[in-house]
Amino acid sequence: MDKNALVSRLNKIIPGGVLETRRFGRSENTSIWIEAQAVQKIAMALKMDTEMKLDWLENLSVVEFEKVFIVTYFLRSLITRHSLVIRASAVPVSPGSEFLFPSVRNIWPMGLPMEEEAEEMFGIVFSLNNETQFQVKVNRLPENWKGFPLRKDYVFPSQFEDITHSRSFNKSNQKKSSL
Amino acid sequence: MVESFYLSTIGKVLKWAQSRSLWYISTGTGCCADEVLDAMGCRYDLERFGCLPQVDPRQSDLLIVCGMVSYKAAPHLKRLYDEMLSPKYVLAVGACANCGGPFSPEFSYSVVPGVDQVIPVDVYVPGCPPRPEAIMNGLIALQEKICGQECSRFEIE
Repeated sequence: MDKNALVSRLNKIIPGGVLETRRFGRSENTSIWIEAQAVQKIAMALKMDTEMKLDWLENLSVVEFEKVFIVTYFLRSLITRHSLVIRASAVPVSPGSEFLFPSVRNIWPMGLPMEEEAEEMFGIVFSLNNETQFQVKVNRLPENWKGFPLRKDYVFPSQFEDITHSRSFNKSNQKKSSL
Repeated sequence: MVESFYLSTIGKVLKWAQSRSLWYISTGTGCCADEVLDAMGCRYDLERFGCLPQVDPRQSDLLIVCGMVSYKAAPHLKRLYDEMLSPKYVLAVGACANCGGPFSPEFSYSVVPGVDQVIPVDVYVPGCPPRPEAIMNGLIALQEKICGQECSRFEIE
């Protein structure tokens, strides 16, 4: 399917939602960069599109690149065998703080576990409504864990609950035995 | 004199019986669990050393830790060790259980650098993953340790 026709159709539905189209990495797939606030509308439009019918969120990944968080959705259709990559970016208000991002879990239910994982690892709170007060839910990390481990500015802990996070190999303490 | 003779003899017999009936509980948190399964199988047959797999920590004498332990799993492993009845022994299998291995503290934020930070370890089996022969060697070293004999030791200068 022609991607330009798709982009023009999306632009008619959500004016200004699609920013640009680019090659995805070294592959021949095209990726569509979209506005972060238009993610839910574009996702619904892609799912309901009669030609694409992208009904499966294959993967959701987040990457931090020069203090900008890029959320990538890998979409695929089980009916028409089409695939598409859409990407959106967001910047936290202050460095180190969590921030809101629109969720797609009501459109593709498979997005829920991936969004929860990204929420814990990167501190991006995926929400359906734009709440004023929000908090990161911790399910996978241990309790009392501080910080978001996959962020670039994350500092490894020196100690976690009486367990020292280092190991010293002191050769003078080792006993020498003759073979 | 006679009492001490009997006690020492009975102690030796008890140690011999202990070392020849190491019933173990295994925590398979990594790929070394596959090697322990191999060692349990018909080719290497751990049961000829008296090692029987158990599911209850109260009925087992040996805790085999195979694989890395994360900070979330560490309190549960500690609880498993505390539930075992004394005398109890721990065998750390593989590089991850010994010192963190590829998940060393410089590269990983969530893995405990060695199980000995959480529970006391009797015998370390190196390797990534160790072969079943190495696990058998570790078990024999543990049996020698229980009997009070000199363990076979190998150290690279």
